[in-house]
Amino acid sequence: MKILLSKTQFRDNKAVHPEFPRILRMALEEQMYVTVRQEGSEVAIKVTEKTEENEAIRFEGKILSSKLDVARLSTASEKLVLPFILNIRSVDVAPRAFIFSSSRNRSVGGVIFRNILFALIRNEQIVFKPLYCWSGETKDSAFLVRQYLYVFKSIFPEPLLGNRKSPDALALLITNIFHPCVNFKSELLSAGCRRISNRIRAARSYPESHDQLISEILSLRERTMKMY
Amino acid sequence: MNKTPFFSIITVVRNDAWALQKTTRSVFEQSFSDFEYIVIDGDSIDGSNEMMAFWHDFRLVTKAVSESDSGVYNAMNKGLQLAGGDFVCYMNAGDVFSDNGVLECVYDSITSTNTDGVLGWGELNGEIWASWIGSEAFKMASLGFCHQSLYVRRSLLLHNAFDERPFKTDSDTRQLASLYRDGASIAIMPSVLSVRSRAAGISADLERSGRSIIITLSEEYPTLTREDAQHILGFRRRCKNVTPILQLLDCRGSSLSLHLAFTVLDTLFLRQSRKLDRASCEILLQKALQAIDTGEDAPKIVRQFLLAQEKKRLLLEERKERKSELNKKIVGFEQNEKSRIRKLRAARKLGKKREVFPGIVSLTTFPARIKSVRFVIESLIEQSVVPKRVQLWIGRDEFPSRKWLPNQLLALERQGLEVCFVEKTCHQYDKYLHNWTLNERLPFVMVDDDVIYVENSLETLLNGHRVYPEAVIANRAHRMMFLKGGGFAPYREWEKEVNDSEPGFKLFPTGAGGVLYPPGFMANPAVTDVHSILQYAPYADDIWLKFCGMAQNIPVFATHLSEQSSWYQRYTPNTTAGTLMNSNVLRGLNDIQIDRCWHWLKSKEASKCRLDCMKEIATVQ
Repeated sequence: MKILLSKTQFRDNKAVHPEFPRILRMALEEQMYVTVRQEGSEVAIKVTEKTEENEAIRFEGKILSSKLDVARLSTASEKLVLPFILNIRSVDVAPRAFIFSSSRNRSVGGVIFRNILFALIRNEQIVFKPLYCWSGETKDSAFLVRQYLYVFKSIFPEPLLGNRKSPDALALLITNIFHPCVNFKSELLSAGCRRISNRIRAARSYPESHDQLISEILSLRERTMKMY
Repeated sequence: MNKTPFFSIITVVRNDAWALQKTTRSVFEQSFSDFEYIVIDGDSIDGSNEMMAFWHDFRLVTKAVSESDSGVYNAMNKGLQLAGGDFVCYMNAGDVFSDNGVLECVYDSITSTNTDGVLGWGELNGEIWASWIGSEAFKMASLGFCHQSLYVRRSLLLHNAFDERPFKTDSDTRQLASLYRDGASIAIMPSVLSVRSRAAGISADLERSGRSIIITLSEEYPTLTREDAQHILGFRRRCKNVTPILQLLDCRGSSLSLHLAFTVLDTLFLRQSRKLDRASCEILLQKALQAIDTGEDAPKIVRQFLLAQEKKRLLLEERKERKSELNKKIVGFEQNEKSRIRKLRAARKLGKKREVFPGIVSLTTFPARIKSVRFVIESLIEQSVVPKRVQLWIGRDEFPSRKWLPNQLLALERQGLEVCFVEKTCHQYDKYLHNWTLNERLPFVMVDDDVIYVENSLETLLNGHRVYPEAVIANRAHRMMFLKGGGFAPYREWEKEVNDSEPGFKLFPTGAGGVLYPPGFMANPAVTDVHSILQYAPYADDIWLKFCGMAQNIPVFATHLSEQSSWYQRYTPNTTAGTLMNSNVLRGLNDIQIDRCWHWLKSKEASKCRLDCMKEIATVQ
């Protein structure tokens, strides 16, 4: 079972696609994952077979720092911040993560990302599968992350993000992770950013030998020069 | 007691009114409002004063000075003396904020971390100027420094004024070095905060800036010979003189070798280092890292450097991907256009020979749309009535020469396109300010650079012109609406895309459909009076031309194409890039300009003209 939604439909909390509750029900009954995948200008929702692993959330996409080992993230605050440095192509949500709710008007995106957020708060196991080449539309690669940001902001209001448009808020979050430049009022967000930032910095350990360091700098330089 | 503003934004300008136009709009668009805006003009005669007056009346420019000065740094110091804000940023004429939220972001950063300032990144011609270290080493090289992205506590700047000596071009980097030397805590924000002007600034004069840098190096590093100073300059600019640089790096333990090491690291990630071979890079890196590896901070500095360069690479990659995405869209768009044009040509073979449009078609464009403007021009060339002359106006400050233009665009010259250069762009006013004399005897059509014109656009304009030869003819017009108490209703509330059976004064032509101005329209001196344009409608040529038409008692006729339809909505792929829509329509800049033009129209000078149109408008007020 699969439904294709436009981005507007995905966000629409007035008219949820009639098939969506059936997908949720099926995932719960059959213990399958619900997969949300960006396909061009649309978002596909479907049920996917469960694997032997026991992860609650599986992200697939690009990560802004290849140095970060997602498998080693250990705290809920880090996991809550992680999606902000991803470009998510698809995400699988385990059935146990679902809070099936039809009593309130919520968009498809709202339901999915609330569940993702709650799974992350519970510090459940997550997996990230990096995509080195994603032929999707780059302009929209942050679409799913923006949906996560909406939900995040509604549950953990942060004055420094509150008034900003999503791209600006995301840019501030990302900048702050790479190089702390603001102190978020939300302790959870602040701790998450700081911990991820420290992990990225630690991964950039100062190599014992200059040769190692030089090779790392030269490799980064070569990749930079390709951009010109 | 008045509270002091958080920021003082200072713009220095001299005879660069149209660059100032761009910068002031960028300041106007900021979402953060706790700032004062100071403009220091060097006694300009080109209309910069009128531009200042425009924004002063609107209370965006809070302080303004116009008097001769001894150079840009003298003017910048003058601005600082006038400033009353807690933090100061210099955004000179032609420079812009990278987005509307920059001041808000810097405010958040400063207030949440309690620093003496923030140093962000800048952008110029696709290169990202990525500062990565807060150090006195800025006195040796810019290290990615963009003064447009620097926000510093005013009290600190007052003790570190710019060096005003006439030959200086690097007083800003030297000032930053002094600030760091004195222990200022200026945090680096690895995010692009400003986009520098493409026009050549003082540092683009290579000979002068070279002399200035050599003198700085000699003054700051007394042991450095003049020859070595030249080697450093040559390495920074063109990655030459690797051997002497390696020798200088060997003087370990000195501030000279440490600063040179930072300069080497920074330079190796700039575009000009592309031609350096791997072996040279490797040896330079080895020596630079050895020079740095003398203090406890070395690992921290190197990590900081790597993180910044990684972030810069990501930004460059993102831009490259965006470009490639746009290219893909353009390829798709091109296929559709080719097919449309093929059909048009096939249909024409069966019909009669095309009539020639007896006038000029003129348009202008800018960097964000240069790749797609050819589609617009092709749609004009393929009109059912063939334009005899199509002129595309381009500013050399945006495209220095023909080499910068896409080949597909230049290829259209074989089909009658005339590419015309002007030294400095007047933005949308380039459409007629340089070729208006052609309108003395001929009808003059102005079009936008992002619309695919339906094949009968020119024909419809021409037919309208034949019926109403003295009227302005528009394929898209709005009906101006008025408030009950008098004055114009907001532009957003005007009745859009209307047409009447006869010309009228309440119709407002907009460029998106193409507008035909009758012969002689532009002979009225007001139409091309740059000083008035900058004072009353610097951001909207259609508003200015409408009111000039009213001053000449020339009505507007809207053709049958101007009705609620979507034909003109066929925009080129990058239509939203750099658009004035946000400022003009959504933030009410159109309303400000309409109001000012209305006052101009009612003024003595304009009322010398016959003002029948005023009567018509007065009846509805």
